[in-house]
Amino acid sequence: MVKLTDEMLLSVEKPGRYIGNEINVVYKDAHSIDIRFAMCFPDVYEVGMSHLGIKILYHEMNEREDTYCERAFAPWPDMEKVLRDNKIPLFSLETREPLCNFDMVGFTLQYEMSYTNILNMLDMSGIPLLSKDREGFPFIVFGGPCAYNPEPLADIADFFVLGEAEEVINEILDVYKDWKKANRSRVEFLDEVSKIEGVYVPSFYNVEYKSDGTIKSRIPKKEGCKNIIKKRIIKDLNKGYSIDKMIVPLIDIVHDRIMLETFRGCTRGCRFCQAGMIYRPVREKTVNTLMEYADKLLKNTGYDEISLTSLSICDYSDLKKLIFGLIEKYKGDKVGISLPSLRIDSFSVELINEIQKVRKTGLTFAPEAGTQRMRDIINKGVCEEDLINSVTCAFESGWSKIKLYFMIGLPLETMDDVAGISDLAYEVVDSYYKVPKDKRKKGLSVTVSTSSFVPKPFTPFQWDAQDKIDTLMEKQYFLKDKIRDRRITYNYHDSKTSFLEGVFARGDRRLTKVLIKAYEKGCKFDGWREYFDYDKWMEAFKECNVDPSFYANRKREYDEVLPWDFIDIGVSKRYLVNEREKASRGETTPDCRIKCTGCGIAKFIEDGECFNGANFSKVHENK
Amino acid sequence: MERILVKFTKINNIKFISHLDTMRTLNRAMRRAGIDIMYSCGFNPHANISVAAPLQLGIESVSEYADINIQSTVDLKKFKDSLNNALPLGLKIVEAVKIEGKKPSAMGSVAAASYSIKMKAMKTTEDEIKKVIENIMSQKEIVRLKRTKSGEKDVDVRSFIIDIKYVDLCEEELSLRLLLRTGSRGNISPQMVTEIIEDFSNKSICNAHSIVREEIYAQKNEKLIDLCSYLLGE
Repeated sequence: MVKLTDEMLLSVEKPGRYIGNEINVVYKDAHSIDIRFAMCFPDVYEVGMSHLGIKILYHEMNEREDTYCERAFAPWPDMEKVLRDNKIPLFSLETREPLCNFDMVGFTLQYEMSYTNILNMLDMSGIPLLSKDREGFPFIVFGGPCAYNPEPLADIADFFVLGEAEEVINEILDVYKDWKKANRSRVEFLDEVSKIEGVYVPSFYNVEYKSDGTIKSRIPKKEGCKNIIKKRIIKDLNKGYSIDKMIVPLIDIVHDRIMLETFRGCTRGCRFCQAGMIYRPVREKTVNTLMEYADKLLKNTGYDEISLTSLSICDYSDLKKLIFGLIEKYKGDKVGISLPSLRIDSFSVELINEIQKVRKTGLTFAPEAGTQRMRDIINKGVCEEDLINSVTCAFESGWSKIKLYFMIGLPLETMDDVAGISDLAYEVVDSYYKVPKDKRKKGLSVTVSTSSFVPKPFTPFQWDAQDKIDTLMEKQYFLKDKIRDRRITYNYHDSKTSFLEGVFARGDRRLTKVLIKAYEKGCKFDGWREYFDYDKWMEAFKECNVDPSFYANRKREYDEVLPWDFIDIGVSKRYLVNEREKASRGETTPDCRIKCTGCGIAKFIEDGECFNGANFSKVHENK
Repeated sequence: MERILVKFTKINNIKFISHLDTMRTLNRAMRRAGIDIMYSCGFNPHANISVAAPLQLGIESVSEYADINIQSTVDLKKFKDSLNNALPLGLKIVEAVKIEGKKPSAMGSVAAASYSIKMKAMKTTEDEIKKVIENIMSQKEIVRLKRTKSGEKDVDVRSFIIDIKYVDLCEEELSLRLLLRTGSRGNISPQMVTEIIEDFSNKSICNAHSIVREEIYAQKNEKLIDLCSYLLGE
């Protein structure tokens, strides 16, 4: 156990990040259990504690009597300095045990820009960065959405979990427990664990490259290694482990409320969206299940707000029943209901009108692209009329602050499409003034935000070239120039960050050495503007003789072997190619609730079916 | 509606959370404990809990006070036990009393607070320390830069220091007891007093490493009375 003095804690910003002791923390006698697991989030406490996934895994693992799961987060640089100056290794919050004394250390990969923080956390724990040097240390396991392209971290990970870890974690812990008892070698554990479906051990494979730098082949190093790794999913979210309590932090965090997960997957099929592909099929929780768990969570946490989470909440098939059920049941207890993401239709505005009767804060819409042509290319099935109707409805209901999210740098984008973003913003302004003066609220403010598109694995755009930094900046300046109105604010993402994200999103094994080099140069917290150092990264690429634009800005052919091709997410490559071709032709693909689009997932889940539990009559009623 | 005054501790690591975080934590504990708390009306309903005097991050306390308005009558022992079950380590209700009749709010009653502090005292003696204290107490004015709502300004804080008492000196660890004006009619933080002590001792007394609020007082005529006794009207 490490010792932190009051003096150390008082010398850093927000010492509450490091004290643990929150509500619903699990305490166990560490000496009487078999497996100690450190669940890590490679970002600061307030960000990590806002993530539902690690909370689910934390409580699920702690259901086991033989396992103690604890948590660790990336210390903010002020605390890192205190720890390093005092030679204190990184520790878990529950028992302040150094991470190097755990059996397994797991990291969730939520965004590429957190990779250097993983290295920093390992280094602060005294754990070797490379898997091959880790004899006598914990096993390092990675999971989460970025694990769907595991290759940039191939030499760092001992193994990866692909898919929903709740489904597979118990199998892994069982294998580990047997291995530990038998006192066998490290590689023997990896052998055993690699037999579990959804587990990928990168050190068991070699990759060969062609002279042009693309992948020639992946060769298993020994017999019995799987050629294809299939993702794992929970077939029915209404069965099995469901979270009924969650840790309530003592300090303010980013999402400080109950996250009630309503369903996984999405039926829309937007072509830029990785989440919409990798989380298929759509699986809903029933209203009854959700009401039951909402009640348990409210009692166990004391929170007064429930956020209904999913990829696109308005697609929940029985949303009205759920929302009105919750409002009716908890109105006396002053429980607020919030919806994180809104689709553009008047139904959603009516709905939010209902749940936010008093406080009218901002409303956010995501048209994603500025012209109909572009929205058809990305298969975002909304039109301008939808947006104008929705904002008009919002203005009439007393909102005056509207946020609009767009992407720039999408495949096939022209400057006309970029200009469309500004045109749309002005139309929103016009529609405000069309609402009679006595009906609208004063103080119109429209915020336009553009993020820069990053092509992601397992999407129809996985073969496309990302826009170069200069092109993105040109588009940003173009928009900045076009939007000159004090009622409209324009924000845009740093294109250098997007570039680096693009490199790692579609990178291969050769990036591990660049990552380590950049880390050695001092890169960390790359997702935080005040710490991101682009020049250091470029030096690292140069010194490692790796060209980053090979990964970000190069258009791939359909027959190229992609680094993540060995992973089966259930959506077929044929489907992705077909979607990409339709994008070129500007053809849209309907929502798969209207008609099965044949993505392959129905075959993948064998005896299962898409939308189990969904209430179809309600789906049609809402359309 | 019923008004309950609670006295609680904030000790050990929980001192590292801010006043606002403490309020939030109390509020959620009430909800977990199933206490029927009153809510304010208005756009953003919030729980009717008000802490008598905010405690700065890093300072411990064995006597914090808060007014809590609840909807219906409760058994005080049950109230206290269920709330203690729901509170994190370090926050603990030590007393809960009903306040009946028209009484001022706990926050509005605060006049002073006492603190035990520990500082490092190097190469100095009890006599020298006592002289430093005498010197501070005999000053006509001590001007310090204070942050107020309207920005920073110079304020004479001398009259806010009611008393500094020498307690003990053991292996360079000096214990003092401070009695300071607190609340809306005059306020000085214990940290500012430790800085004044540092200055007057030419840094031979420094490094305040432990500050514990011992009691919060209201004033009746010229006398300071602990908040609980004052509000119970004894």
